[in-house]
Amino acid sequence: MIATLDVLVVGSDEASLCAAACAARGGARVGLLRSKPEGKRQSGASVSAVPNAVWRRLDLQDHGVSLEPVSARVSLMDDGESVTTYPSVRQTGAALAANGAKDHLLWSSFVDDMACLHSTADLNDAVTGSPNGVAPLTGLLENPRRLAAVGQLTGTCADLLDDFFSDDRLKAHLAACSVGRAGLGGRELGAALEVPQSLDDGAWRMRSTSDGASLYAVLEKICTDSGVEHFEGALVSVSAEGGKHKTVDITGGVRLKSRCVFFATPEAAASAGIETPASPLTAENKVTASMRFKLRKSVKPPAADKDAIFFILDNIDDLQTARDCVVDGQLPESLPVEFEFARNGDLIARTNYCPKVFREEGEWRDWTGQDRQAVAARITQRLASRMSALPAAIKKSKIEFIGAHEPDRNTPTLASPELVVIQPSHHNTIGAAVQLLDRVLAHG
Amino acid sequence: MGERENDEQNAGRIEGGIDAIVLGASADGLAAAAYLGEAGLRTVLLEAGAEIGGKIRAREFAPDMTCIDGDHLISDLDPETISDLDLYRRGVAYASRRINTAYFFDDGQSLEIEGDLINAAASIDEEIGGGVAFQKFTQQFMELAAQLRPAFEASGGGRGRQRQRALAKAMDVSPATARRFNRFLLSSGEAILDDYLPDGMLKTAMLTEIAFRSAAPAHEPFSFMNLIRRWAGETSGLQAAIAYPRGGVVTVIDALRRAVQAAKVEIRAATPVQQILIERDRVAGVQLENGGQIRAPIVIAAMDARRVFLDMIGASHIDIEFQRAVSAAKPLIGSGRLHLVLKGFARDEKTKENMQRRLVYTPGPDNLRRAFAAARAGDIPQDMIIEAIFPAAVDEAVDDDSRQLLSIIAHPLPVDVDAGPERREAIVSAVQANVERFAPNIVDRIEASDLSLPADLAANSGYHIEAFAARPGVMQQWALAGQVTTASGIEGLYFCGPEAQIGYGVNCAAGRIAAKAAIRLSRRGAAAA
Repeated sequence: MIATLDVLVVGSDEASLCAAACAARGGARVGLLRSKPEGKRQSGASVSAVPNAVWRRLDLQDHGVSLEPVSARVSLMDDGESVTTYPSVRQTGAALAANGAKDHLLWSSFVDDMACLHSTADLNDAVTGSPNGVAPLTGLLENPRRLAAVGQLTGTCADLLDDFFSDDRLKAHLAACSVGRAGLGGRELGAALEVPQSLDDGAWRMRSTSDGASLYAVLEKICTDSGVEHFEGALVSVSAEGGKHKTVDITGGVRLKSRCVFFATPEAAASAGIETPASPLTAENKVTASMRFKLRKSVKPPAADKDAIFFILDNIDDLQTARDCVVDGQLPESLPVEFEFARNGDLIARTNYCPKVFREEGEWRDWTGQDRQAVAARITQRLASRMSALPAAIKKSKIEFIGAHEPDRNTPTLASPELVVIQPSHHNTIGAAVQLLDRVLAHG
Repeated sequence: MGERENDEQNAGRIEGGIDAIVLGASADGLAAAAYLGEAGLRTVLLEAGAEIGGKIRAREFAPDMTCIDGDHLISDLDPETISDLDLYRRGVAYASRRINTAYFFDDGQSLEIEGDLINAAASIDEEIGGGVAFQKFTQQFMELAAQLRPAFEASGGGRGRQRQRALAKAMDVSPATARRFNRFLLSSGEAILDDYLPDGMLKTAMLTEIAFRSAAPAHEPFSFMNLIRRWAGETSGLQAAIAYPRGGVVTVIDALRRAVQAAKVEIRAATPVQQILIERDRVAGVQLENGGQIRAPIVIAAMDARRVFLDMIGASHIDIEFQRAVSAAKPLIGSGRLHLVLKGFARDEKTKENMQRRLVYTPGPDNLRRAFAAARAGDIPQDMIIEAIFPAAVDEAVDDDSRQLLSIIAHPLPVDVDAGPERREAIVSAVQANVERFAPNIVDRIEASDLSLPADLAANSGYHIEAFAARPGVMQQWALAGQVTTASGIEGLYFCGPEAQIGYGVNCAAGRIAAKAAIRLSRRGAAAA
């Protein structure tokens, strides 16, 4: 039998589930395609905030969901020093002052200015070329105020931060929190856009509290309750035949018809093997590595509490250097790594700076098992450089790669890149995905 | 009235009765002054240096060898300025137009593309195949370039609306076209070329054109528009195609100077300006460094934005967002100019023909990415793009002299504020190593050489070095140009410095637009009085 859907959401993260649930609650016929689960799902990592509107549409409070914000963002520098920012402006200002950062007085005006830049949401979308974008760029180029904003947002993260701060550590920290998430370089054009986005309320990540229900499980249940059809497998092909509906083949010989195929995050698209970039500003040629460590005994982070998110980088130029390596097909020496501790005590580390293909002696080649080991070793080494007690505490570890080019990888065939909708990388992952899917369903 | 040196008697004097002052005798400054003079405004053109022409000037660097600093080709001279100021009658003539380009690749292969891109497909098909794809590519994007031409014109004087209309028109076809257009506007050159010119020499050649003289490499966002910008000149017809003016680019400056003199504008060289006088948010004139003052209700500034807005006007008169726009970007990447005198040339027809092309060496996409990364980090890249011409050959003046001048632009190089002799030496040998790759053994023939870097141009002209650094994508240029030309909020002040222009090269449209807006203001003022 051929199922006929309004939208097929492909992906198995919280953003995909949220988007699918919201669409189904809105009356659409929704399918959710998830890859075969390999054993029990390991959750506990932080997710982007669930915006109020989404919370209400899904009545999450009725399911006993309770989320609490990650306590802080902490950058761990190579000299043992750290920079910490909090969701509260005042708390951050005080922390910066206590840390001796010269720029703490500018913090609140910086946050205000960034909020101002970010509030021109249509501008954001237009500048990224996001499928969300309705206002074409043309309207932006007449008004001097908006021109100023376009100039800033399309510029480099380094230029934007140089405008406000003189403290290299603070700038490095802010770059790590913003640009690091997208896998871009600090001196790359368009990277400036990440900075106001990362300071938005919706960008501050959350975790389920230990006494509350897991967000993922609740979303799964809401999906099922609101009639989302679950599919298991991988995407094989999407073709335009069949008029308004696209024909979608998935593994196991299942064929679906759907008006649209939707990816809530660029990572979801990359996991499915889609090579089309989500938006022109998406960092191309990058692979995300995510590593989970089971620990024998708990390890104390060098700064702040265990509820924070940590960034490892050596200095302000690290991100650009790493990005240059990635583009050139090398694994960066000082790999920027982000990590956090899950509820169950696991350590989850992640980096967005692995190359898509490697370059060796002038030749490009695909990933090999050795490369995977090398990345795992590099991540472990970076973590150990900040927490010397870590290597002794590791029981076992597991690494996953999103978007790596491997010979035996399943790459779906798309008749044309326009057949799928991919939400570009966004700090407010859940909010952006739900919003985009709403728009897609409304306008077809 | 003609040129006159700044004499001591002027010191400390206040001059009045002048309608407009133009600061800076660059091509745009000269054009603006000529327009003002022709409109009957009593105009004075002030230049801080001893010579006019801005960065474009001829100088003898070896016995009997003159080189021209700045650009060596013209790619987008404003057709309206040419006809308004009668530049053809005043001495601009093209020695060759739509010069063919020979691309040399790092693997030793080469490819010639006709200067007339629309018709280039046939010869490409003959040489390497793939002509059809290339024709499709050039046709589609030439069309887009033609549509966008008004949008690339310098801003100012209500241009914002005109630009918006042009963009809107280009997009106002269907939502699908608009989406595609948005993609061209934002995408990296590599992303678009991947779709249109799969693999091969043509793709590399186009990538090279995108990256050449840009601060952003072709794999970064917004870079594809660089190509559209380059082609926009071409679409206005032969007049603005890549060309070599008889006698070199400096003849354009000479023609402009004649136009200025014919319009009875007084040119004062060696007259540095200290300050632009602002009274109640209106321009009141300028304060000279020798203590004198010239009062006038209109000032057109044809110098770099930092100098004009931060040094000459001062932060207290402009708002903070505007200051930020002017001072935000750090210059990291620039081009180098190298002139070589080569000896021992054969004088047969074949050699002559080979020398009459624009020669471009491209290190290939991978090396190019590394080159930009290196330049951005302040290192001298191993590989770089070389654009070289033999001025005497394209000028068809190859005489019996077996010596030849080779004029080179190398890109990308790091922008050094202060390059010592060792650094310069290293740059010269890196550039020469790249030239050697397509012209082997050339080093043995070098009789004399001369390197000119952004820092040298800055030192000569008194501009900030930013004015001579490469600029990032078209989006950024749009944003900055829109701001410097419209957002200062000072009545009577018009700006046509390098930041007002989208793209590079001698263009003059910014000068024309600033002058026309100033003339309108002056007429309004006269009518009100």
